[in-house]
Amino acid sequence: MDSQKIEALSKATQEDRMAMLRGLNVEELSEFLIHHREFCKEYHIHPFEITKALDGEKQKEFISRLEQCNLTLNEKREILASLRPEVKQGIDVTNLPREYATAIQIPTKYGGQVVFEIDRDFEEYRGLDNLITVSPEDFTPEQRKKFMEFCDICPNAEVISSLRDVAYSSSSSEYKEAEEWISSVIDNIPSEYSQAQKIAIIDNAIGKKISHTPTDGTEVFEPKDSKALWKIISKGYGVCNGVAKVEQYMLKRIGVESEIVSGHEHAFLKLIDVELPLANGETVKGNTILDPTWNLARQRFGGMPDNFCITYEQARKNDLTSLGLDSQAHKNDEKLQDDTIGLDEQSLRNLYTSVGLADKEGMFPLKNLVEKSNAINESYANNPEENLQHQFLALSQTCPEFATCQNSTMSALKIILDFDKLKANRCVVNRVYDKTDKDKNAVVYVYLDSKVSGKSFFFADKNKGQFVQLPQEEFINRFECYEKDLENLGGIRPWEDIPKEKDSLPTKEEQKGEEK
Amino acid sequence: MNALEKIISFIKNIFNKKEEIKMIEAPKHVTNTKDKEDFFTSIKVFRPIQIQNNEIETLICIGDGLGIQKNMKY
Repeated sequence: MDSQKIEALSKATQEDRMAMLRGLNVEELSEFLIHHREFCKEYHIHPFEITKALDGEKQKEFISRLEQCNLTLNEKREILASLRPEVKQGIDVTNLPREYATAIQIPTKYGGQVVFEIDRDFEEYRGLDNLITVSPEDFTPEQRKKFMEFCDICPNAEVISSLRDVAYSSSSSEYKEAEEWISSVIDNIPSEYSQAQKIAIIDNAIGKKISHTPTDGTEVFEPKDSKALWKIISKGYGVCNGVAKVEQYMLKRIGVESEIVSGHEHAFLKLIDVELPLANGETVKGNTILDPTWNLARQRFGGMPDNFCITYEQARKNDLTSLGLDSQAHKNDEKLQDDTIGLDEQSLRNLYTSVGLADKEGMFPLKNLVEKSNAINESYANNPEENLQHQFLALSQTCPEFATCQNSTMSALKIILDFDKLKANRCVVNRVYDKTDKDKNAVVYVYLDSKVSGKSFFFADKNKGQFVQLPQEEFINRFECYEKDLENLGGIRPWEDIPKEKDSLPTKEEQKGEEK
Repeated sequence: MNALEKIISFIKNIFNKKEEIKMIEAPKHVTNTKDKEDFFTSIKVFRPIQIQNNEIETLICIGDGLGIQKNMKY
């Protein structure tokens, strides 16, 4: 193929590139695959994606040249498995190597996708990851167990979960990792536990495992990654409807039915027909609300999960912000009017005490961190920087993985940092990214402008597992705000001074001066 | 509209003629442009969005979908 054609291919979109390659005659195509391996690698071109769309005659011709094309065994198997059914039928497999014969014999559907069969010998799927999509949400326990074996053989197959009729992709290795974690949580719940106790354990485990996606709303936010069931568990990040999906999936395992409900810019769960034990000894049965996303930080840092099994009325009260504004995050009268049961505070404390996640008095573990934090505030009342250092240490002792659960950590910092005790003019807890990081992963930072110690900068170092202080210049050189955050701040970074410009109409004296 | 109405309307228009709208004339002499610019600059209002409150500022999202703003209890 001449350099002009290669240049045209490199400039085309992926869709056009594939169409151009499919338009080549078989000889040219073979030549291209032999001599332009690097090009294919660079532009993520899988040979089977070209050959599967060729007409039957071209496919036959290409197969006759297959051995000359300098392809890997997996690439050849992908090509053979994705041939048109009529072409496959015309190939005599008796004298072919086993790897080729099994690839040809694998049933495929339109577009060359492999029809996955749970009872097939999984070895026959080896190397065909790119052709396999499985939807294992409704697998039985036996099927799940078997499918885990498949995940070892094809770790990069596509595993899809659905959310509001949209399919989201995880990889089979992510599936396996997530399912192992799910089993470790559910299998360790004592069998004698009540339904409510089991739900409490699962909600707590999700909060300990998952944090809200820290890049949500930024220029690098990829929503589909935060909504794929098994990817969320594997990566540890999800957005509200994705987190709700995870909890729904886990609750289904213990026999609790639920529905994902949306409020304003938010999603959570409506649990159907559950039994809740009340502090007065009664048990109530009916529908209730569980908001796993709003519980994430609380569960991670051992706070009271006050969005756990609440009535619609309580959920709407929780929607009020500190300024008294209604966020309407849980407003959905139509879907939630029959959510009439919920746990009052004492009943919630009793429930969590009964499963060992609150103490005998019904106090949650966050109490220890807050008390430690208060003591630090007293001890370092005149030294804000040292106060901060000790607060960070206390935080890291409570949650060693704090640097990787950014949003939960921000929530916790808001509780333990005391604006007055830090003698602050301003104290910001937010996210930035490292300018050298092309993925722009979120990093939690704390910026303190103190009346006593001036400006201080700290960031949560994932490698060291601690907050690291940097001089202002170094911090500014290394980190940057996301575009969206900067926009919300009127283009001025929190640590920057407001430009001194006229901010009002001219005074009378100035006007007189101008008139003169 | 019948013919009689048309005639009445025509006569009415003769006697109730509206005054023409007179546009304000542009100034004949051009004022000093620098003065103009200075004047515009002097009345420009610069108000950056900066939350200056006496509490820890954290990430804010629409509808508080993150649940970060709420205080945690124990």
